[in-house]
Amino acid sequence: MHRVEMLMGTAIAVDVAHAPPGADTAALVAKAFEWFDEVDRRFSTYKPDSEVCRIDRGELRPEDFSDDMRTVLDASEQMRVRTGGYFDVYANRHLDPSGYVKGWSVQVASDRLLAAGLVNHSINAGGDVRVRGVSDDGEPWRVGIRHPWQSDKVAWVVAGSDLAVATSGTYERGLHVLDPFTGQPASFLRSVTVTGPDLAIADAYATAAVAMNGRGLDWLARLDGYECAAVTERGDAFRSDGLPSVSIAADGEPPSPLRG
Amino acid sequence: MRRATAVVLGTLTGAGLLVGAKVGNASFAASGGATATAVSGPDGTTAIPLPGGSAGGSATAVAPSARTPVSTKPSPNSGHPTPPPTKSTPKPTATSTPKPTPAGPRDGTYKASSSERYGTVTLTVTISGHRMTAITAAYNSNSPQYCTTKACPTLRSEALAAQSANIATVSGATYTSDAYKAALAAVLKSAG
Repeated sequence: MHRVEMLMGTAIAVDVAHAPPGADTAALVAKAFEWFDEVDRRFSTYKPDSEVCRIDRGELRPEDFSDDMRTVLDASEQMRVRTGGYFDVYANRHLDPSGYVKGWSVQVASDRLLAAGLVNHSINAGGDVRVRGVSDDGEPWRVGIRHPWQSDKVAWVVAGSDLAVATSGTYERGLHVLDPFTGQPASFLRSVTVTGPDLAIADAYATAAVAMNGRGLDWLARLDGYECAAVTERGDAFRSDGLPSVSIAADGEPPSPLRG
Repeated sequence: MRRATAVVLGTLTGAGLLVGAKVGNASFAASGGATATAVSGPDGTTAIPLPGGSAGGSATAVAPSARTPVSTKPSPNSGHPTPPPTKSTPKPTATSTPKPTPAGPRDGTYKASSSERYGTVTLTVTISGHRMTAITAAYNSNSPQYCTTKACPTLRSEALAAQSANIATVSGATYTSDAYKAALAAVLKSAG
């Protein structure tokens, strides 16, 4: 089944393939969207009564934070350290963990679908993707990486049965990723995609790499357990050897692995 | 040396990009692993450091043509057999009249380039009133590629593809619903 809803300021799509007999797929997918709605209410930076906004205004003491908030803030701090400070939920001087929350909430929803027996599914929240199992055609999910200038084209296709794919870039919202050290918007990398096991981490890595400007490519090349594909503002394309990319078969033939 | 001004660029891959002014007795060093080391001169002039990473870079100093350039060249990479060829293209364009006894960095616009594996960064630093007032960075990723460190993981350079494909979903920096719908339409089109 396929269901799309507008939540968390973006479109979230949940696809389930080859559900086991007897599974209440619709109800499980509905629960996933309830989860995204709950996350939106708690973590939105646009809703004044959200937990995030209350914390930002100093209305909540750390001991009053929800468990999910602790999880997100602790993990965000780990990401800040791992990225040398380039992923920073306080980059704009206000608490804004949305760069972590989106991927994390999708990862949690995917884990829950898996635990409920829906082993073949894909969740896409505004371009952050988590896939498991196989798609309707019985093959591993194929995830296109959007071309950074042509919105109806893809620059790469990656495939996997247990894969997170996160993309950060400057082409959609303009130069919105700030280098937290200079406060200046980053512009060297137009698109950075990171793939790996955890979507929240992949998303944080992609955002951090964009913020690093020229250093981002070298940093991406050194990631452990995560692969990458990146396009510079000049149109130069780079990818890691381990990117689970597949050839883009123009004739409709099954794609062949291109692993380095 | 006392009145000299230097603009030092570390390679982006290496010793961390430091931009600073050397004023009087206050000096700075581009050290490996430096991340943020602000240095103040006697008149309060502040060197503006940019964040950097691990050791392994080189630096080039450029000063306005009317002055004697002061070069600071840290060598955190000296242990490696093949130090990176740093290409410098200084284009100083001093814009002010020299003063007899400047109290800080000499006014002017300083420009320097530093090559790293995936391209060249050119920094333009403006000194006004003996203080650094602006820094801009321009990147040119079209320069020759080379390795700056011993263990040198690299990304594979590829031609950027632009194709339609049979895909289930799209990853992109698509934060707006309109963009997402466009991407989704592309998916449905390719799937159909």
